[in-house]
Amino acid sequence: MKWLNMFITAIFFFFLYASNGLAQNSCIICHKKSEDTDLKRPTMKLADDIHFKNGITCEKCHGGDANPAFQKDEEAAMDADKGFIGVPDKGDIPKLCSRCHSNAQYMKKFNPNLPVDQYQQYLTSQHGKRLLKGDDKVAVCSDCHGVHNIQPPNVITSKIFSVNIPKTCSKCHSDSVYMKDYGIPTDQYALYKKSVHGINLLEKDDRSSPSCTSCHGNHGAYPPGVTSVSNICGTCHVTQREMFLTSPHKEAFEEMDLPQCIACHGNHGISNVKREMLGVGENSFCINCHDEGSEGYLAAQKMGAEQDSLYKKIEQAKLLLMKAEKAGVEVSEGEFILKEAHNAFVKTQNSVHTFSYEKFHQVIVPGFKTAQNAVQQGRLALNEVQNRRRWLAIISILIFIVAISLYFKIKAMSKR
Amino acid sequence: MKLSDWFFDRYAVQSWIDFFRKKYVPVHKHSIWYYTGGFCLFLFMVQVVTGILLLLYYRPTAEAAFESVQFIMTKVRFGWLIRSIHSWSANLLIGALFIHMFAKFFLKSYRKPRELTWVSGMLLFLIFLGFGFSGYLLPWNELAYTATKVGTEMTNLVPFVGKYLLVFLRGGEQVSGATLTRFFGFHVAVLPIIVTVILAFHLLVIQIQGMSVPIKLEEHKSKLKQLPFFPDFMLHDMLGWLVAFGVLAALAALFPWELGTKADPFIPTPIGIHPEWYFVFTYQTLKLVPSRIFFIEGEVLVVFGLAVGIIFWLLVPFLDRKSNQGIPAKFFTIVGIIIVIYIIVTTIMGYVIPA
Repeated sequence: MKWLNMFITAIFFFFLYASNGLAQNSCIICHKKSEDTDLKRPTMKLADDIHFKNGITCEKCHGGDANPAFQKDEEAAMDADKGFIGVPDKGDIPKLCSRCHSNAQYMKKFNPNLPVDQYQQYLTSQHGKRLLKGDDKVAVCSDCHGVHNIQPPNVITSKIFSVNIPKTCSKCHSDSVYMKDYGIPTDQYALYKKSVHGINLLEKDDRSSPSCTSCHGNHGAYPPGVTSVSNICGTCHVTQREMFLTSPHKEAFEEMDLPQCIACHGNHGISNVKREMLGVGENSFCINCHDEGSEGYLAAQKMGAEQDSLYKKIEQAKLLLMKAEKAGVEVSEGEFILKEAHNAFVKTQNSVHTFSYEKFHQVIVPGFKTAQNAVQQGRLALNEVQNRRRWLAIISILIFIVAISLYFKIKAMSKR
Repeated sequence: MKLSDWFFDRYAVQSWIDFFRKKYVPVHKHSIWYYTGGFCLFLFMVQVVTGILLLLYYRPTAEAAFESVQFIMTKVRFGWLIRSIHSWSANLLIGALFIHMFAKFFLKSYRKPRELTWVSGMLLFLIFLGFGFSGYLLPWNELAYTATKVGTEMTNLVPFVGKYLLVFLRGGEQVSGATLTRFFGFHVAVLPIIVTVILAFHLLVIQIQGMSVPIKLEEHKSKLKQLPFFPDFMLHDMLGWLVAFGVLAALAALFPWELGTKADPFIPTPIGIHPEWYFVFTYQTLKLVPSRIFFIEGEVLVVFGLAVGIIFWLLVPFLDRKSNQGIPAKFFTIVGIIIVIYIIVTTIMGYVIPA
């Protein structure tokens, strides 16, 4: 009997444990039963909510009493004396969230690594500043994080999961009607989707590729100033930034009020680097500022010509090696050198940011040597193809002669 | 005193020469099939010579195997030619063995008194398949690695001992460097020793018993035109060998055997992969059979069927009693035709139908 009692008790506690959560909260019990969709909606995705999972239920934000005993007494459950506030005003939301999220002592219980300065940062953001001025159209916590189905950023369905961030921001920033009072463009998302960063993140699922918050920040979101652009791009493009900051273009751009990296590469619609960007051709960026015959123009002309020349050399090596490989020659060594030549080309493109012909030339010379080496490997491989065919022809003739002689010998023997 | 006399005095060399001089090969409309055996022998000799040359540079470890074959193909003088000939010749040899085996089957050459010639030939065929399977892994490239993984997996289907067999073949649970070293051992030591013994027996009994003639010609055997084995038949053989050598050189020069990319155990199995062409029919059979037939797993049934098939094929001389009595056995001819059609059709399916 003792064992039976223990078993029944265990079953009871199991069901008690299993039914814990959703059913033990008067708010949820009533809202779940409600036929009004607006009232029912908050309970529908609660199970995925990070707060709910951590035992932070409705009354912690909305006030009132969630004791299940009040499930049939709406007034007692939603008593203003018990702090019930109903749906909080949008303008009050950041402060409401910060009650917990700015409390380091409290937040440590859940995640000791979670920052607690979001509210402080928010107040420095364009969103926060406008909210304080009474503009409640700006984004508050719930606009980006969701309301009753808030998920941490590492969950793929979260609104702030890296791949979902551009879409989350675009909800407001691509809405031209909603944004019309602010006088800023609404094509950022459309441009970003087609940009090298957007393609990498959204199509190739390369999560190291930047989204909106990587450049603008998240809680403290603010457009970067003209002179701080390179600081932002330089977080990832470190060497380019270093070169730019020591180049003559830094001061020149400042004087001309040009936004550093963006001046040539653009911002939201940034595309892959193209060869034509350098030099004095039709699509060159250099000629936008450097007049024909000027020192800068001549430097750009030389840099563009040398870059094209290296590119053509690499293409030539690629073609030769491909031909040899198709003919069956083992070209792995040549391909390895070709990869080195390609790396040298990328390094050369990188060195453009020194905006000094001498420095650029120093980098491109070893690249030429490597590319020439790759061409040589291709030529050797093609020579090998020719040699093999020559040897095959000689051996075939020899075999043919011996076979014919043997044939006549056999014929002669059969006549005997 | 001539050096030859020195040998002739001590060893019965003269009796062997006399034996070959007196040996004749019958000439009839099916005589062409007599040359298939010699053709296989030639390709085997090519394998031995090129194999020994490759052995001078090849290193049988997972870390160095691929690089050593790459070295042979790029740095060693004529290394590419030797490796390509070895690979091409291996494939031609298996093809030649198929032709030789079915030619002898349809001519019923296995009948009394040549039962053991057939059995030893069949064993040689299976061993050469083993050579092909073990040699395929040695360059340690992606294709070879996957094919070996799939191929060895099949042993797991053998009831009771499958698991042990798998571990024995792989040198562990997975295809690894241990498998490579093991396969190398099989390829250059174990299999060559067995082949030498069985091939010696196979050739010896052929020399002793002479060439078989088709059943219908058996009665008129004494009236058939005879071709001296030495030098006439040998010269005919050599003409074929010369042509084969030319073809091999052309294949190696115009279509060198590719090396592919180095095996990486951590990348998933590439799509559309299939084993060497001579194993495709078994691989395709595995794909065609339903996963479960009554209460037996389909794959187990295929392995069982294959084992039964091999035993049947091995024992054909003892099962075909009609041929032993000099009566053409239509049943066995039909079985042979069905097998040939099955192998051809499933092999084509294996290449045509996407995986």
